[in-house]
This record gives sequence, structure tokens and C-alpha cells, in this order.
Amino acid sequence: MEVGTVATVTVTAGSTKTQNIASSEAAVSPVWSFGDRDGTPRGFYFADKIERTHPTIGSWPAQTLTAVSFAQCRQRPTAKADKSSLHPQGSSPASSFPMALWQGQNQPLTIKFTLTAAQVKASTVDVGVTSSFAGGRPTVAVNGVSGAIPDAPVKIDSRGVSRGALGSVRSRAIDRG
Amino acid sequence: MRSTGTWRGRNQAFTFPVAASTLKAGENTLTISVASGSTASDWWLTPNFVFDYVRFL
Repeated sequence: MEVGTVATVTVTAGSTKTQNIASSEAAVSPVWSFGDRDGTPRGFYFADKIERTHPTIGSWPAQTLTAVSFAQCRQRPTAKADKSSLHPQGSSPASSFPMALWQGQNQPLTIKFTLTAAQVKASTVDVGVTSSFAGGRPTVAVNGVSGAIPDAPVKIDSRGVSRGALGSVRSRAIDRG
Repeated sequence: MRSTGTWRGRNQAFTFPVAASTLKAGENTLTISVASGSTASDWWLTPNFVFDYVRFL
């Protein structure tokens, strides 16, 4: 995920150089969103356990969630002053949003959302993915109209969310010399 | 100790344009599924991905 442009800075002894390293990515105001764009599934169901627990220990039904737009939230402000934790009344909590989607288990994930007449315009569904396994990538349908299927992501040599690594303790008897 | 999983990967954003004619005032429904040509018998080994975020712009 790119968040900026590459800049080269040449620094010479005894001189001062200035380089703007601000993100070149445009700031956007989503109608609604689940999760922070932080490169992790933090806040989602099982995200707090995945580093210690195999996903088969969890419960993964196909979920139907409700998203309420932030615009409606601002009309009914909550006590929370921190915008990053803004949670519109009526929206499903992030903890009910599954951190992973499996083709053979909890797909599809359904999100119901209400638009005002002014919000009916050319829009974008943006799905951020931290990791994928076996070529898995998101496809979407809005009101039954399917979007294009993206190309398969580049595979990494890992079982990903269900890899059976870490956390194993091996012991071995040592013969007397 | 039980084995574990991870969410660490390449981090990628997938954007899907939605035409205005697809949307309507009132309730709309978005479904997200997994596309892949692969299959597996154990569900946890079927094609999958981990969410960073989902947003509607």
C-alpha cells in the first residue's frame, strides 16, 4: 500500500536540507467504514487472538452487519471526542466484523447501509487486505450487481491466517555423554 | 501449545467502482466474497484474506 512518493535527498556536510515527506494520498471522507486504515485487522473479531490462537477455535458464521453513515453520526454526536473511535449509533460494532473471510466458511459478508438521495452517486467500495491465501481476494456485489473480479494477488509462501506456526514447544532428551 | 495464525502479508487495497444507477435512496446491500481458482476440503485452508478495513466512499 503506497502512502507517499519516493523522494531522494542529498545531504552534504555542514549544510541543511529540507524535504517534504507528507503523504501524497488524498484525504477522503468515507460515507461509512469498518476498521482503521492501519495495515492491521485491529478491532475486528478474533484480531486480538490470532497471534496466539488458531482460527478454528473461533466462531465464523456468515455475518450480516449494519453500517450507519458518519453524516448521520454527526447529527447525533456521541460523548466520544476522538474521531478515530467515532461509532455511529446503530452501526454494528467492529468486534462483530470478522477479521478474515474464507471461501469455505463465512462468505459472503453482508453489509446493509442506508443512503440519502444526495448520497446516491457514483461511489467506490474500498477493501483493504493485509494478507491473502491461495489466491483469495475480495469480490463485491452492490444490490446484486457484481463488480469486476480483481487479478489474483501475489502469493507469499505462507498459510497466512491459518498457518500452523509459532507457539510450539519442542523438547528433546539429551543422552549422557 | 496450540498453533496460531497471522494477519501479516503484503497489504493491498482493492477498489470497486459503483455506478450511481446501482444505488438507491434507502437501504442498500453490499456483499463481499472471496474469489479464487483454488479449493480445499478443510474450511480454514480454503482461499481467504484478512481485512484491514472496508469503506464506502
